[in-house]
Amino acid sequence: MRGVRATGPLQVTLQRATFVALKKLVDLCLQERVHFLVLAGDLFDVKDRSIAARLTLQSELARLSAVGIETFIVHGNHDPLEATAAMVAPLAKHVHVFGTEWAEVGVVREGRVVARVQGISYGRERVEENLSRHFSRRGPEATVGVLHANVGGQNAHANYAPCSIEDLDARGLTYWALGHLHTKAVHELPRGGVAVYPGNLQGRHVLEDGERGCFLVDVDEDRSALRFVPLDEVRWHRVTLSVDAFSGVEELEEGVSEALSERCRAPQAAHAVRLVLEGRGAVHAELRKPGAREQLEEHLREALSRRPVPVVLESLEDATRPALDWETLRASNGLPADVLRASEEAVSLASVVGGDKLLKALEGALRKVGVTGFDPLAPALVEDAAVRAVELLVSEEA
Amino acid sequence: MILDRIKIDGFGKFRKVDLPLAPGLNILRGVNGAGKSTLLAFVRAMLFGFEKESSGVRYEPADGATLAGELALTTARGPLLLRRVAGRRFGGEVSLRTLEGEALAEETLKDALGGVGPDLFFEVFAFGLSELEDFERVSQVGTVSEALFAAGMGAQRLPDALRTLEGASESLYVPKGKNPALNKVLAELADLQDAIARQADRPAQYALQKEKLERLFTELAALAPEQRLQGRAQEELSRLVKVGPALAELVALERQWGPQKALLESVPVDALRQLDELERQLRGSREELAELEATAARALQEQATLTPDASVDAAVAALAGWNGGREVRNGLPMRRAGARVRQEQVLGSLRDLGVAALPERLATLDAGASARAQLAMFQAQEREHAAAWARHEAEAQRLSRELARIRDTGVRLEAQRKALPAESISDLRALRGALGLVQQLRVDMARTSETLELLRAQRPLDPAGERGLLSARDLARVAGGLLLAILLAAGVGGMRAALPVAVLAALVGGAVTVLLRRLRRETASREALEATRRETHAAQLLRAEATHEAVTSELAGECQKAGVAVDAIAQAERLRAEELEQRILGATDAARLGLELAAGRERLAELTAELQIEEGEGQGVKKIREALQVGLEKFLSARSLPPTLNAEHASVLLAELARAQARLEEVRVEEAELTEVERGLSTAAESLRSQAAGLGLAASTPEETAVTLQRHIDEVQSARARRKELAGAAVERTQSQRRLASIASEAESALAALLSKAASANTEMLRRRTAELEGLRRMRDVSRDLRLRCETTLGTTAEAGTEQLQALGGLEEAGARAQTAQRTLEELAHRAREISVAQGEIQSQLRIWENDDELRVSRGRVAELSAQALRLARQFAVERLAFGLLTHARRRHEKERQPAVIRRTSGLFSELTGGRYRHVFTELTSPGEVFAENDEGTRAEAGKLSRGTREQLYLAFRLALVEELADRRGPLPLLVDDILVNFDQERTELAVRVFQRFAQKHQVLAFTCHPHVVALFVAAGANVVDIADLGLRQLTLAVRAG
Repeated sequence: MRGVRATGPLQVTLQRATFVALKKLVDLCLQERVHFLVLAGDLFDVKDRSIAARLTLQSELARLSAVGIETFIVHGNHDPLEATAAMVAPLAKHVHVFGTEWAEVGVVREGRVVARVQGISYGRERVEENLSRHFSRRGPEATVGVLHANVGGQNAHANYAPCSIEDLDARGLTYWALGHLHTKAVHELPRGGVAVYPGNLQGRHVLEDGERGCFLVDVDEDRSALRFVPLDEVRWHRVTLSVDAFSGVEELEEGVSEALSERCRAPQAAHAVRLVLEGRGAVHAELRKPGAREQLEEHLREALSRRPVPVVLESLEDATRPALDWETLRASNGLPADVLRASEEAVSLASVVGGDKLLKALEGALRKVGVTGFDPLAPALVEDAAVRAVELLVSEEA
Repeated sequence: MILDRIKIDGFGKFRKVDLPLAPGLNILRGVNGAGKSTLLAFVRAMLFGFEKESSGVRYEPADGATLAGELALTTARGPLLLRRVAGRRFGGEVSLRTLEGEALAEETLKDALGGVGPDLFFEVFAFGLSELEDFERVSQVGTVSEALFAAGMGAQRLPDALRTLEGASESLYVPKGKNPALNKVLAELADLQDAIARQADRPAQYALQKEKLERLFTELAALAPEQRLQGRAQEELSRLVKVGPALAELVALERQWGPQKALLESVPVDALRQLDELERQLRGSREELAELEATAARALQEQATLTPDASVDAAVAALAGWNGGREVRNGLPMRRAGARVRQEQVLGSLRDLGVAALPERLATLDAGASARAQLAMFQAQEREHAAAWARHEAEAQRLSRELARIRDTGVRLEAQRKALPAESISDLRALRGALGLVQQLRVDMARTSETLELLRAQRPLDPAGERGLLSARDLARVAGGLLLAILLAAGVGGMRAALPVAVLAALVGGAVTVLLRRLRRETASREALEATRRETHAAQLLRAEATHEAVTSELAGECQKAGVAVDAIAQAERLRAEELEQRILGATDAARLGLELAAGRERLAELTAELQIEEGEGQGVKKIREALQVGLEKFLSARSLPPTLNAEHASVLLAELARAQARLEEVRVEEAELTEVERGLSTAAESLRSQAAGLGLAASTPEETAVTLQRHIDEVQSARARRKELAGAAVERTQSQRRLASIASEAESALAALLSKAASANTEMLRRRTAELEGLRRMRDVSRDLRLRCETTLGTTAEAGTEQLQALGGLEEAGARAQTAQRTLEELAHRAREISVAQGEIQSQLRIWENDDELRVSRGRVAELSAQALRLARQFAVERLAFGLLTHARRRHEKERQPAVIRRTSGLFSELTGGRYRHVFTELTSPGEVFAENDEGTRAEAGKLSRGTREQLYLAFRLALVEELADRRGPLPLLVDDILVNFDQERTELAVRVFQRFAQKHQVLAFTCHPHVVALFVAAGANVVDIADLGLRQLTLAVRAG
């Protein structure tokens, strides 16, 4: 869980959420008496170097193996084979891990092959080859392809094992079990197959919000019936709230409470929320007082954590704006107009940022400790800065 | 405005000066002290007033001439003359007029000046070198300030805004800083990442460690059997080494005592003790036998000396009989005396009871139970009949009292009844009912009368006669009443009042008559008026009258019933009602009394009958009591008791007599008993005497005989007991002798056996042999201990151990081998310990890694810190961006939106410096300061320019202001006092050219003492004005056309 703070039992809930989601997955398999389970890579992040994660994976898969349910695994960019060769303990009997060479395994029940599962693992983190080319239908039985890949060149994700919908369709498989994207997506293929990103079981940060889980799939030779089953223990939300209607912080708190009651209704063990305040209103001035936002954030964090279904406040972002007549300001010849103009000119901004040694120093410092995502030219930051500057110029005059 | 001419009456050193000026460029030439500055001051004073006397720059003429002067001006309104004369008014008396002499208002001058005040004029339009250098002062002049720094909205807060942003960003992050929030976060993050990096690839390490752990388990498993093997070998060697010396000693000892083993086993260990014991037994038994024989001899001797035995049983019995009666014998006289006293006491008590009876008589008296029962019966009957008599007496008394009371009540009631009238209650109640009806009828009658009256009153035309008659009757009643009262008064007052009363009566009668007559007259007059209505009401009246009549008649009937006169009905009613109530009450009481009286009489008759019955019963009781008394008397007489005694007393007496009889009987029995005792005692004494005589013992009294006989009996019995004792001792002695003989025999046999076992001929030999064997036995015991110890330690026989030792090459070699084995064992144990420790460490490490807490916590913290760092970095970026945007906007603003005057200054300054400087600007953050940018783009604050350049800048600024103001308010003349002195030749020429161009729109008066400047001005076409001081305190003017 990234970016959330909690103490006591709630902290344990957050820490164990991923493991609990895995356990729920295994419980579901046992309950539904599935034929097999498919895990399409990035089972864990090698950078985490978590032994507990591997042991938990092994023990949970052992539960399935004990009742004869097979598990098919490919490794992805976060858990490439070369980095995970030394598993902390051997995997259970019915767990099949595909190697770096394409392979197919038949699922046999009562002496009959009921399905074919094909897969290929990443040997190293960066795999730029289109691995889908290795797959092909070898028999009339339902055929499942397990592949860790960026289908359709999603920009937000590393473009590993790139391939297209057409590539997948061309292989003629019944079902593509895809891994890599953390958010679920279903692609119906022209030839009747289906390619499915189930996403991850448990959102790990605010960008992985909404329900998370797995697809329970009934496959016959040509068709797949999908049913999504949420398994997340802690659910992430990004809640935006307009402050226009609130006359003060107390009303705002009530508003937050109502908004979260509405959004966080699902019976999870906990909810994690990033709250973004926007709009113009009296609250803006209160929030801009030194330390006010932080104080409100702490207060809300404390209050929300005590709810029957606790809500962990990841952060409280203040994107509110002062109630100024921006058009008049812009039309005037005054300094605020120049500030606004400069904030809208790429050249001016580049010169402002480029000429700021402190910002450069900070970028270096952040790089050094591996903090990414800092872009001083991000539109939101520039807008915040312009507002801040104009506010300082006109706050008393306005 | 243009200065056409300057005329000075008196100002400083100038007198009567008249100085015509050109409208464009003028150069006023004069040496130092010629009065250039005075002339400048004069123009200022003319336009804005003389300075105060105290100011020191008033330029008061020293010769007492009037401080006054005149300016001829061309203004927008046309030419005019401004004259100012020092006077009482502050600044001097001003007069303004046209050339034609028309006076103008002072406002005209202000208009001509375009609102420019003295400060602005002095700093901008008429200045010398010293003013030129002082930019600060000019910048503070209100108009100048406005012109310079009206930078638009937002600028005023810019410095604060920049400071705020800098402060905010510094509180977040400073490169190489430590305390700002973001620096702290970054530092912690870096530390954590180092820590994580140090942990390297944990899963790989885990796998390695797990393998290592497995290897260690295998090694440890292999180590255990070897340890056990080595342990056993080392243990064996150690044991051998340990018991080696003992084994050697054992062999040596066994060699010594082995040959004597049979003898050691046959001779008991305590042979010597046994020998001693047997000898002691033999000796003891023999000594005891000798002692027993001596004792037997002494017993025979004693038996011979004892009293011969004889029977003393009869003597013992006689003595017992005598001794047994001792107490009785001693108490006899006392008991006899006691019996006599008790007899006397009984007789005494009888005498006290009044019965003088002899004991013999008393004994025969019948006072037994039947007599006492008979008497008790008498007593009970008597008591019963006495109680009946008492009850009868009480009842008779109660009945008598009741009779008397009832008789009294009857008399009283009779009297009360007689006092009440004898009336019937029912009659009275009927009367009360009638009276109630009369009252009701009266009410009805009153109502019918009222109705009648009403009808009559409603009939205004009632016959006057009727009304009159009615009224006359009323009046007659009143008059009658009054006359009656008067007559009564006369009756009371007697004859003395007769006359006045008669007079009064006559007066009253007269008045009534008069009134009657008058009434009749009025009635008669109404009669006619009411005649018409009579008939209408006649029927109603008739009905009412009929009703009234009916009620009246009924009333009369009821009154009669009630005994009330109809005429005086109301009063009678009230009286009758009260009386009637009283009478009803009386009649009720009388009836009640009558009833009570009748009941009393009945009760009287009952009581009288009861009393008679009671008296009859009383007579019966009396007779029975008399019969009882006769019976009692007979009973008493039969027992010679006083016949006057009543049954109760007789019963008490008889009880006493019975008790006396019993006590006398007791006395008699006791006396008989005493007599019997005396008889027994004399028999015993006789027996005693015969026994003593039989035994030949002589004595005088029975007591002495008894003592002698007792002594004899004691002696015989004592000798008998001693003989018996001696016989018992003899038996015991015989038994002891037999037992001792047996002991001695056994001891002798045992001694013989012991000697035989030790193969000894006698005890001496046995003693010697036993001493020898004791030494051998100790050796054997030691060797047994050694063997036991060795075998316990070795777990095998001593012989096997000895063989092993020999096989190993002796004790020393075995010791060396044991040490070697010990070292090997220790090494193995050490290795096992090492493995265990390593296993523990690895397992602990694996557990830690499995729980993964540190890394997880660290990574969680890293994520948290990263998010925090990003948030702070964004905050910092916002502050920095805001700062950058403000700075950027300011630059642009400063560049593009400089005030017009600064833009003009830029042009003029460029002109004055020949293009060396291109831009002049003010900074929003430094109000009051002017900056210049040279052709290389370098900016410099005015104060930091060289003096000449600075003066050129300030000149440009002033010229720009003059132009700016001229645009808005019209041109004013510019007066400059030798301001080019610090300009180099080139800049001076450039300046003159600027003035030349400037003079095209503005009149310029340049004062100088420098010929080259004059020359340049002249070259530029200036009008030259010479100011010469002739030292005559007068000004000579030579004007030469330029």
